[in-house]
Amino acid sequence: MNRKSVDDRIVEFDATWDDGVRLDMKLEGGRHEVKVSFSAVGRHQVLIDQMPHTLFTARDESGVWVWSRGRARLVREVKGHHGHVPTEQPDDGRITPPMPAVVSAILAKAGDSVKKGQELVVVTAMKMETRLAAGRAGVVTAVNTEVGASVMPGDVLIEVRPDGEVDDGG
Amino acid sequence: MFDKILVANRGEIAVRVMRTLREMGIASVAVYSDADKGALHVQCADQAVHIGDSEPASSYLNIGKLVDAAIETGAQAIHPGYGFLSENPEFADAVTKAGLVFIGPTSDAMARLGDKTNARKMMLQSGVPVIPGMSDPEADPARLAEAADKTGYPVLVKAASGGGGKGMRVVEHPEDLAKAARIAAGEAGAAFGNDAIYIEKYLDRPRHVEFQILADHHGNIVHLFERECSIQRRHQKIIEETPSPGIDADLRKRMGDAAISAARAAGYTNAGTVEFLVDRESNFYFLEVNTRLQVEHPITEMCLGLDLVRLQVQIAAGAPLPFSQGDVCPRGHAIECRIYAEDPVSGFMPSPGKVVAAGTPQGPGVRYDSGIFAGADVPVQYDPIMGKLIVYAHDRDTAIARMVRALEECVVLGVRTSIEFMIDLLKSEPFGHGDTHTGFIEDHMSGWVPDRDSDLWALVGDAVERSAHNAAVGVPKGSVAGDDAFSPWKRLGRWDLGGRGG
Repeated sequence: MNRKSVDDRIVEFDATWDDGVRLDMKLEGGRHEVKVSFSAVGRHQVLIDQMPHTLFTARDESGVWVWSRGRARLVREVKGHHGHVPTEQPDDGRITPPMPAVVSAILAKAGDSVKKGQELVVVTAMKMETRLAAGRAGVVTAVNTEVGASVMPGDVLIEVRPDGEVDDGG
Repeated sequence: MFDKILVANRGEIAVRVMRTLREMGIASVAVYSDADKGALHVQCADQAVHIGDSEPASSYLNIGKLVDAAIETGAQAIHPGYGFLSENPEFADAVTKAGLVFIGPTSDAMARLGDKTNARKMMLQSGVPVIPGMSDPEADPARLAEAADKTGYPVLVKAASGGGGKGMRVVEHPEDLAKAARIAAGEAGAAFGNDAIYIEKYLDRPRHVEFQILADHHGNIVHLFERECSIQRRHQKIIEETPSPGIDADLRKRMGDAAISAARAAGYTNAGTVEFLVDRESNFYFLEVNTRLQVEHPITEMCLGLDLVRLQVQIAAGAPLPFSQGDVCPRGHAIECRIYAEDPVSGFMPSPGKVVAAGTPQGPGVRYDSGIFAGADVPVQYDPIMGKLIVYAHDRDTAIARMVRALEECVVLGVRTSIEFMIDLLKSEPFGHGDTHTGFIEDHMSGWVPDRDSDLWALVGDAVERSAHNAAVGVPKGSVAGDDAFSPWKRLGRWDLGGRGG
């Protein structure tokens, strides 16, 4: 079986091309016949179990985007063996923005003791302000950003070490 | 009439204004920031001036640079669009002082209406009903609490100068008031440079119904009927329609008269919008006047056969209104859906990025005012609106079906959008019944998730795209392309959909 993510979910499937226009697709125990009637750049006419679909597709760094009648899906490779979707962030004391944004305020400095839920950084994306709060109580060990910086999901803006956890020197 | 007009805005609204200027034979000047070098509005203008870096404060909010750009290019007037400086009296003032024409109301009228507590007082004096609440802004938490108790919970904490839901908080319980007031004041200060707030009664599930007005410099004022804009998320509209399914001829007449009284009281000129809330008992209350063109102005244009931007330009040039109230007769039904780069799955969080595919809805009764194209950036610095899709039909049911059809054709890939959410909303039973109110999304759409029956076609699309891509870059049959297919020279063995080479 292959695994990919469709938006935020992991899907297991099997797909085999036959002569370049027929695709045999096994998904959730079902088997589906796909025939490509026509394919142009970013636009494809396909029959899925004899039902016609017009699919628009485009790719970028994040994966392949697919459009069908007003519904868009992002299909991505699943990295690692058991699927967490990459956008999910564990609550490990690393403060990161949920979307590309600009830092508008930093409300804590290294060495501060912070409470769970305390606001640490304010970011702004497209006029909307988002306040990033500590996911747990602890001590701020690092502030890795500055006001005005453009930041991306995954960038660790502030690190919080939980109360009572010994710094392992790493 | 003017020969050249500078459009002090960006994105779809700048493009929309320039289209009318082109039709009127008036040259247009675009302004742009670093982030917008390749933006559509720059391509649509006759001339473009770079005005600064991507931060709004050093470009689209920079009065000095905008006025200088107009003078240097020989423009005689400035159209402000919506958002940015469009409702800033200092901007209107600076434009006028530089000997140019500001396409909008006078800075005095704007200042009178922009201060919301002052606007309330003005409306009370001219007999326009207002929402019960405070008449003056207040900073003292004790006095705010007193006013909230007197008004009765739930209350709405609002920025005295504001709009678009910024600096606005609903407070249900007295113990939450102080924090809400602090946040609202902070937001208001950051967004509008004025942290004054006040309190008014929070109305449960009202309709948002607004009236378009037009006033010339010769004392003529008309209203152009209503737009219902109840479908909102985060206090911002996403779907608007006209006529409102919730008001009858008598209420329409009384609200239209009130809108004209409001405009007259404020000494208003040019295009504006008087916003009202209508409660469950069909009482209406003045909300505010938007002293500019609204995002949703096209639905009025569709039902009346008018071009509001053309009328704005003509009024600014001193022409009298070409018609009177009795001549204005709306026909049919129009709906607008705003196409935002945002993710309805995560609370309508903005979704900036690069658009990698963009289709154009077409066919009978469809208008698409778009600011994007395949390859366009949706910058993180600005409002996430990418375009607005408008349909017109002879009645509401037909218009809804037409909008669903047009949204299905409105391909946008590369950023998340609300298109799928809006399709499901439009097809929902309560919307079909016209049971629309500002709590509609919370009441009827809060558990919404994208259609789960999409895995099959999504994986087929993925497979076909990879296959077509491989054919285009010359990967021989039987070789693999995973995400590494981005590097056309990289071939990893047998073609299989998991991307895990053979």
